[in-house]
Order: sequence, then C-alpha cells, then structure tokens
Amino acid sequence: MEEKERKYEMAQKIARNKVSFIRHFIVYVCVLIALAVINNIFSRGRQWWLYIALIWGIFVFINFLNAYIFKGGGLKRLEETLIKRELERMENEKDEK
Amino acid sequence: MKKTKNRGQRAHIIGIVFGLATLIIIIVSLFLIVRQSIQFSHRTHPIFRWRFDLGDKYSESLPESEGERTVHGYYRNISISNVAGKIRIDGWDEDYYLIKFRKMGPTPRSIRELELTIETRGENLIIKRNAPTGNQGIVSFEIFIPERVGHIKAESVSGSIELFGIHPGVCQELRTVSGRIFTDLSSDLTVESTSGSITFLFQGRMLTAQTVSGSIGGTISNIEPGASMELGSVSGSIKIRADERFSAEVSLRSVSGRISCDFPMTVQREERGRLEGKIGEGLGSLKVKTTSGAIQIGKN
Repeated sequence: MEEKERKYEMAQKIARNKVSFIRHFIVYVCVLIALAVINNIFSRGRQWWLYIALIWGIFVFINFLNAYIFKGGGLKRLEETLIKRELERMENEKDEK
Repeated sequence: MKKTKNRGQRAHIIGIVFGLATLIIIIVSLFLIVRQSIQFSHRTHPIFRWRFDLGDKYSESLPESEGERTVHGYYRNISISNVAGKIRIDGWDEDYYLIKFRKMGPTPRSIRELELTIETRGENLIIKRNAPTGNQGIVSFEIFIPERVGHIKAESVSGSIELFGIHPGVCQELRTVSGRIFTDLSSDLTVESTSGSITFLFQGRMLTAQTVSGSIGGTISNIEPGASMELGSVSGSIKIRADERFSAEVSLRSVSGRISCDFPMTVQREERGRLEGKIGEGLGSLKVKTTSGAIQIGKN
C-alpha cells in the first residue's frame, strides 16, 4: 500500500511539473512578444527584450529539464546512489578489519 | 482508457516541443545579443572601422557620422537627394567639389545604417542618402561647388535647401516638402515646397515657384526678353520685388487674397481677384496665382 502511495505521489509530482512547465512556457512566449512589440514601438535602437528572453529562457529550460528529463527525481536518485555507494564502502572496510 | 493515453502522449510531445523551442529562443537571443553588442561597438572601437576605409574610389559608402569628401573632375550637373536634413550649397573659386556631411540619428545603429553615395556618371555628380525603410537618421550636407557647374538639382523631404554665392548662369531645381528654400542668385529656377517658404533672386528666362502653405518672396532682376515666370501658392502670400526696368505681361489671380502692384501698369482686365495688364513693354510674362494668400508686386 505504501509503495502504491509513493508511486502515486511521484506520478502526481511529475504531472504537476509538466503542466507547470507548459504554463510557464506559454506565459514566457506571450510576455516576450509583448515586450518585443513595446521595444520596437517606442525605440527602435537596442533590443533590450532579448536580455529578458535569454535570462528568463534559462529558467524555463531548467523547468523543462526538471519536468521531462529528470522527472523531478534526478538529484534525489543521485543522492540515493551515493548513499548506497558509501554504505557499500563502509561495509567493505568493516570486513577487511 | 485509450483516449487518456493519447492525450497524455500528445501533452508529452507538446512539452518536448516547447522545451526545444525554449532552447532555440535562448540560442537565438544569445546570438542576437552578441551581434547587437558588436554593432554598437562600431562607433567606439576603431578596430571595427577598418573595413570602411575605401580610399578614393567613388560610389562608396561613408558610414562616418561626420566627414568630408573631395571630388575632382568636370561635372556640369549636380544632383543631391536627401530625406531628412539640411542641404546647403555654396559657390566657391576652387576647381573641385567639396562635400561635407554630418549624420545624426536617435541611435548609433540608425547612424550606421545611413549611407551616403557619391556617384560620378559622365558629366553628372550624384550625391544620395541611402538607408533602410524606417531609418530615422538625418544627414546635413554642405557642398562647395566650382564656377563651371551648369545645373543644380536638390531634393529633400524634410529639410531646408539653401544656396549661397552660386555663380550667375547656373540653373537650379530645388524641391522640398517641409523645409524652406533659399537661393541668393539663380538663372533658370524651379522651386517647389509644400509647407516651407521660398526666397530667391532670379536672373534668367524660366522661373517656376510652387508652394502649398508657405510664402514666396522673390526678387527679379535683369530678366531676359521672353522670360516666363510662374508662381503659385494655395494659402501662402506671394511677394515679388523687381527693379525699375521690369517689363512683363502680368496676370495676378487670388481667390480671396489682396492684390497690389507698385508698378504703373496698362490694365487689360481688372475684376475681383484678378488683375491683368502690361508693365513697361511687356518683354516677359509673369503669372501669379494663389487661393487665399495676398499678392504684392513691389519695386526694389
């Protein structure tokens, strides 16, 4: 039962992350279009909205990696692997003694 | 169940596409930022300016914000075309042409995109302003021309055109939309302006001056027999001054403006808004027409 609940929670988290990313991306694109239009209406010189596109874009991309590539458990799984490895090392040291 | 699976798959694909789109936006933004920074550096870092040093070849682009060029050779016809900015042409005693220019704009990019072209084709010297559509840059010209020039054509959209010390016998064709036009001496003259004033000194055979809302003020001196002078305005006043020897068939028409003439005239037709007659022997022809402006012919 616990295992099932844990899996459900995990699936819920992944789904939430995915929906959150899609929402984030839509807002990102809409705001960028608005900023680009404002920039080019009021001053046709330096395109300052590009800086916002770059910096905000990095955060959106991190959101994407978290939702689709690591699926919210990337670092957690790494942590678990490292703990396992440390435990194995400690066990080996104990046996040698 | 199958429907839910399909929806889930579609959402997954959309998410992947959005993710890739984000990556593309990041890369493109980065590229454009770098390119923009390099473009803005053109004005401040001399290293970016080397490629503009083209020597003495003609038909080249001159991206400096301020500079001058000299042109040697014989060019009877000079043509200057500008969009925004003043054009000043001076006559001088040297035997070469000197073109001074100053570029201004709201941004460094607008100045950099603004290119000046100097072309020489046969007896023609053509000076042009080239820029992409929407460029808000302004170029001001100061051009010095030698005596042997025969014809000057200057056109601008928003900017005044001024000619000083031009040698007698030079025909002039001057057009602008919103600037004033001034020439202190001209042979055959064609001047057109929409809202700017026109001021001239005419000594030739053909004179045409047209404006919509600007005023016309001119001096006619030593007209040749058979000279034809036509001046027109919609709402601006027209004031002409001539010397005592002025002699012409005169036709003055104004719909609602006042008409006055200081010269003794043999009146052929006089009615409301119209005065026709002969001044002196009537060697030339003077036609003045305006809708609501006043007409005044005075003595020097």
